[in-house]
Amino acid sequence: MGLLSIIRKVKSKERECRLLILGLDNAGKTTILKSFNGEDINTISPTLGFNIKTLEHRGYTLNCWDVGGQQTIRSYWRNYFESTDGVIWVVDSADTVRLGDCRRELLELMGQEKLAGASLMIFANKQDLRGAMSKDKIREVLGLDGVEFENRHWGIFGCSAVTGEGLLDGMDWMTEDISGRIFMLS
Amino acid sequence: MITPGDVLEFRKPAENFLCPLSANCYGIDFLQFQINDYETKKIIFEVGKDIPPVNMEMDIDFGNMEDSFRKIKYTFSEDVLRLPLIGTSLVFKVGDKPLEDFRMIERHYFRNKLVKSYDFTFGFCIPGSTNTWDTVYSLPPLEDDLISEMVSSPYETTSDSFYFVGDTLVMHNKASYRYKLEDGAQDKRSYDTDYEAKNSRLTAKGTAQGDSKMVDSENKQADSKMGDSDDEGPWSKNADYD
Repeated sequence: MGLLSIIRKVKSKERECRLLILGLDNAGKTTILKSFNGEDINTISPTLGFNIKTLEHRGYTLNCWDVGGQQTIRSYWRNYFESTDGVIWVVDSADTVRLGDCRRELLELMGQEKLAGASLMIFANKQDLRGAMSKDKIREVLGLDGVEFENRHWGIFGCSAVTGEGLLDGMDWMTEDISGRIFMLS
Repeated sequence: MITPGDVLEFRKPAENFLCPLSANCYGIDFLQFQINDYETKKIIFEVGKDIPPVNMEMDIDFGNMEDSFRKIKYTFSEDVLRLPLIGTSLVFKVGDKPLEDFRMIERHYFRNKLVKSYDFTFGFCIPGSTNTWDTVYSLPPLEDDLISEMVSSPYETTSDSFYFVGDTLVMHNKASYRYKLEDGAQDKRSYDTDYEAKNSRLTAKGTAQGDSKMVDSENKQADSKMGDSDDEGPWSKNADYD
């Protein structure tokens, strides 16, 4: 192995990031991940554990950890915080009833020390559904412009995992934001 | 005691199983395994609790049934060795104890020579959980000569899979592989026939063009828009808001 290939190897390792995909149950976390990867999304059942998926995106290797969002599982989320570069928070934009829960869980998550440096990208999912709130409305309800988020790199994107709309914009923002912070040296 | 550090030093297949079946006190159980072409998403190999295996057999030794269950013979398309990006998907469940620091190390050999090694840490597994691990292997390009030799030497390609919880070896499985030549003159690959129902559905839906890394953003969006948006969709909530 020549020096050049060693350097390349080190670099390719550096271009890897770990993304944690969280949100309430039924938000569409797994569907987003599968849809983004071009997989069949017709037979997705609630995640009772994790789905780990490696994606290749714009020269980056994204190790995505999608952990189930059911209330009984949420207490285990903290086991997945270590070394996380970015958090993707998925919101069911049509689930107006649980937006309060959604905000509470997000705030709790953002208060975690191990996630202090992680970029936050919010997917306002299910924009294809009638009755879905706009991403601006969700931004307001989640209080993203408040003091809790002032030291955080965050972005919010409307999307539909079913049509695929918006997914790419969100993932692009995420990889750019992380690479801007982490891969400056290379 | 065998540690991850030990197995990472192995340069040839282990002669025996390095832990008893009973070492799996966590109830780790593999439910489904799939190999696919990452770019086209075509299934190349699939086995699962509800999916009868094609191209797979156990190496039954009636004198030692315990070992027989851990020794599997696979037949794969040679494409597994040649395609630039191979995806694998593993579904497993775990018992009622939490798993800390779950890790897999897999050593692949041709005869007595190490050809590939994979090391992946799952980390924590939630008690009673069912988990999916999808990964992409960009294969280290194998020499053409080596591939030809592997194809013409059935079951001389082997692997040892080691599963650790922390530093404790909890599972050890062995596999051997036979590679099937593909007919270059044919449009169809052998797995197009083996998994006809699923693979043809894929092509019909137009997702076979895949959202691989080779595809640029414009194509990608176009592709994902070709999804089944007219269907019921995966969300049970749909009905509430329609």
